[in-house]
Amino acid sequence: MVTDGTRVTKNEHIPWRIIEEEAILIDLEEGEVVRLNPVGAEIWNAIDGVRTIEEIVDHICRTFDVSQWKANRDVHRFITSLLRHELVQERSGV
Amino acid sequence: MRVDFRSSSASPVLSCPTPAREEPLDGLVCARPIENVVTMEDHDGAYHAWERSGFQERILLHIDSHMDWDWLQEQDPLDLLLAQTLTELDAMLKEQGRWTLSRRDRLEPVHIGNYIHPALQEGIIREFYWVFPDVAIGTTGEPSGILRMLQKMMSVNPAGLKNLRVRHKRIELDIQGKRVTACSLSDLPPLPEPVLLDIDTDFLTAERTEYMGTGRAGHDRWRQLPWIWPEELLARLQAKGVRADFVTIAYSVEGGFTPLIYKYLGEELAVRLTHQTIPESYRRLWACKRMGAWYRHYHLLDEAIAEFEAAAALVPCDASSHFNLAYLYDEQGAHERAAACYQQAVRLDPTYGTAYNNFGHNFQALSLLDRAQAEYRRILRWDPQHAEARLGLAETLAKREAWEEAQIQYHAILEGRPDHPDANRELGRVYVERGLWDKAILQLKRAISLDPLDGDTYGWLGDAYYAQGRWNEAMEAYQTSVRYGHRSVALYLRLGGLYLGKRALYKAWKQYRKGGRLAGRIMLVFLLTAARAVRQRFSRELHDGHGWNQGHQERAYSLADH
Repeated sequence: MVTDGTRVTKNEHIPWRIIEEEAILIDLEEGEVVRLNPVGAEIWNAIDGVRTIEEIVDHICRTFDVSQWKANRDVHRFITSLLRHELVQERSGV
Repeated sequence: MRVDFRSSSASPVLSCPTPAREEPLDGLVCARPIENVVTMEDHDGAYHAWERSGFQERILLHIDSHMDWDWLQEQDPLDLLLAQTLTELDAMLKEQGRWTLSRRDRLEPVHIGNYIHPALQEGIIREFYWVFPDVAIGTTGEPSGILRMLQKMMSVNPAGLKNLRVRHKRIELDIQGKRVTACSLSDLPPLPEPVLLDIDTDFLTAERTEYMGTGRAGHDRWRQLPWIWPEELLARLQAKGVRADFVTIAYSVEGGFTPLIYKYLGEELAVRLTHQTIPESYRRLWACKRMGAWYRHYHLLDEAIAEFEAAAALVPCDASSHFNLAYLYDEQGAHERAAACYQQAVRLDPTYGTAYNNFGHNFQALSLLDRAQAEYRRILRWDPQHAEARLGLAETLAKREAWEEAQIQYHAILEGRPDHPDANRELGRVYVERGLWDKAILQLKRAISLDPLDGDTYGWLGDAYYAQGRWNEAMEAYQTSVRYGHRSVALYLRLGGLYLGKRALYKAWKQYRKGGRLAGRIMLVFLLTAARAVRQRFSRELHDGHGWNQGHQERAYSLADH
């Protein structure tokens, strides 16, 4: 369950790169290329294992013209999806 | 009965005619010796030979049972991340055949199936002619099997293969913007300049069934005759005015393409191309071997033996004569004599000890297990230490679920070669099948230490852990198995179950979906194969019984033109 205080880290086995504001991730395990749009790429970039979800939401609000409520909902959904695909991992005890 | 083929009109002994024309002879096949003739076992050696010679913008005349063209699957999918723009990335991803996104550490970037791709890519070749064997032309008069193969390749990568069409019985297409023509020898158009001539020995020994979508036939391949002999091939190339300044010849015995009994045909091609006048000893040697092959074809063993003995007497160091004799003596029941001939052949040329010195693999692929076993047992009569033949025998026993007998054979291999990776792995699998889990785990771990990239081994290790209820270890082994290329419905289902146990519902669903898709594909392939077999049978009946061949042929071509 993702909460405001959750911290996540990128799966270190997923090579990635930003190309023209999109994040391109290669999931070697599944044999898939995952493309994240510019907002997804910004969230992906912000995931560092240190920032909490709440802090990432703040960062998105500062970067894009979006309400706190909408950003909060979208970041939670997006990170839940990343967790489900094992592209990121939950970090505890930080 | 004794048949004298020398006086028959179908005599295989032909001469290479000297051209009676006033055109320049530079490089005309068989008119002048060609200095640069490179022979090799694996055909990808041709690419390296062209590369070393610094060729650029040449015409390739590739005479082969197989096209040898496929996309290079770039070793590293991370190259995708080198794209500078999203448009570039999209273009790269569209070339589907080039990317294998899962790790495939085992894969060699250039191999016998794709070496023409880098030659096209690097500009060594600007135009590519593939001459396929006449036997690829079906009863309808068209190379429909080859057309189907190209259509399939095109469907995988429509951006890479374009403009597929049939014109004047030639299949034409553009690959990477370069013109490619596939045709039979008879339909080869005039070539404007000296070419890179690239011949695979398996072109001479191809069989019709290979192109009918049914694979090799189950007949006795020891008695097979080439559909064309080297001098006839060269005479036909000369008649077409083919000029060449660089020739590559592959034997292609490894993998079971050219039967070892005919490897010498590749050597004969090389000698004919490099000599203005063929030495008399060679002419006599080839004539004897050819006669021997004809007699063998008609199962006239005494006569065949006499010819190959004569060949061996003419050139005692010719390994192929001794190898051919080994089979003939064996057929006569003279097993000791056969073994002596085989051992002499291997002494003279160790490549005759290859795993492909028999047709066990071919029969195994056709599920003709009795005949495969007979092949392996024959080699073991000649050489009881032949690990690959024993491995083949053990595999056929395992396929029949004769686990204990298979186990004995694997142990016998490991006594002589304890580090044989396949024997270690297969023995582990036998333990799995017999439910000897601890033994299986130990054995499979040993196999992994010898060959850490084999996906199957991890799969069986996963099975052993799974049976012991060691879920985490089982999951890890299955995941590694998938990573190294192993795919099976059972594996996906097991992995799905393990994820389910961990409440990783999404992951579990993904595995079940993959298993379902794979099962669907297997079913689809089965149905398509069955449908093709029915269609072929129906087509043959039409051809044989109703004389509709002509009309059928015309309709098929007009369809392909569209």
